[in-house]
Amino acid sequence: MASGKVLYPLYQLGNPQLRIFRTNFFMTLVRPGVPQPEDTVQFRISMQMTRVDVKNYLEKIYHVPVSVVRTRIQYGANNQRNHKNQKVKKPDYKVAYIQLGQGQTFQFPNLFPEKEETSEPGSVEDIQKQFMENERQRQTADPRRGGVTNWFGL
Amino acid sequence: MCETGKGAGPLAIYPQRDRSRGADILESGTLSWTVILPVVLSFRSPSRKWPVAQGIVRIMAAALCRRFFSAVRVSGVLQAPPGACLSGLTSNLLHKNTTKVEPLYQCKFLHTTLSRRGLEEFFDDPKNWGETVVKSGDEWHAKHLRNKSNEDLHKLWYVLLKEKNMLLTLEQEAKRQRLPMPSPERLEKVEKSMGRIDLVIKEREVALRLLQTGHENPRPGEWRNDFLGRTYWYGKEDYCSICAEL
Repeated sequence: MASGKVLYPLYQLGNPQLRIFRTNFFMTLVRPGVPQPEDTVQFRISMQMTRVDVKNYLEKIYHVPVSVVRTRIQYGANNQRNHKNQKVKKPDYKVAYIQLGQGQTFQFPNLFPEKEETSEPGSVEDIQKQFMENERQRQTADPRRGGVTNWFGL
Repeated sequence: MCETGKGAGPLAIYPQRDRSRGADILESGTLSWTVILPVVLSFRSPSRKWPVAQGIVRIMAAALCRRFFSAVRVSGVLQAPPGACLSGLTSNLLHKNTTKVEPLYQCKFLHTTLSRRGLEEFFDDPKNWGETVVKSGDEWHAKHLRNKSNEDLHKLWYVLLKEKNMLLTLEQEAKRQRLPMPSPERLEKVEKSMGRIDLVIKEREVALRLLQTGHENPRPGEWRNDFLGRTYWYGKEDYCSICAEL
């Protein structure tokens, strides 16, 4: 369970089971593009990972109950051209769909919620905002003139 | 994950910058003994030209630490029961003494597991959602990691692994929504820290192998020249010695 070129020792009958102590596999939890059932979670995983690896990874490191894992390989787009009109390939990646066990459900949260901007009184932004407000007030036409232009009149 | 009362502890994801070594040791009650002794011994250790000797010193230091730590622990355990067994005035006095010693003080700030669990660990703290800047501390340097035990390095690896998974998730989501990722420098910090953990562990492995077998590499091999004079590494194959005899 390690990505990159790893030289495993030759297995001989009776040797202890091979164990990886510091795995260098990474998983990215992504928002599914196609709507998925409630208990399904979509991940982007490294190419060398297998279904068994994904199951072990989530159960041992994250303590998430996993019932079924399905994987596929997504072909990276090949239709982009660079400034020399050569094709630019985006790298392929492996996608894993995980069905959670024990009746758990998952909803991808909104990681970038809209926040109300509240500037502290006396700060630079606050002063700038006040100045802009005053300028706008000053530049608006006099309502008593009834829309008559400035150059007309005494 | 270990946390002290004041900010990030010795096993935080991002340790605090510009912290004097002495203060770090004294404030972290949990790892004080395992940290102090290797530091003391590393001052006496010979120059970097002798990795073997340094390895010996480091292993000796680790063994010494373990013994010292266990001794402290045992004494702490032994002190407690008489107070509970005896009765009357003496017991009170003893009890007072034991409360002052506080043998379990070292475990006070030790949190090995996070309070939140499961798939929530793939996301940042909900407080940081929607922020443009998320503050983080320094990265882990090899100098600091060499003072940690193998067990701590192993734990730290998984702490950093989870952090990196979280950051990759955040990066992907930011890319999808076409927004700037908050504080992308964290990703580089975590990657560098993980690389340094690998480096330190490999150093220890090499030192141990040199002591045990006298070889620096796990597999025997040598530099050879091919017929064009190009130099290449000729690694010996791992073969079944039993099968060869049969």
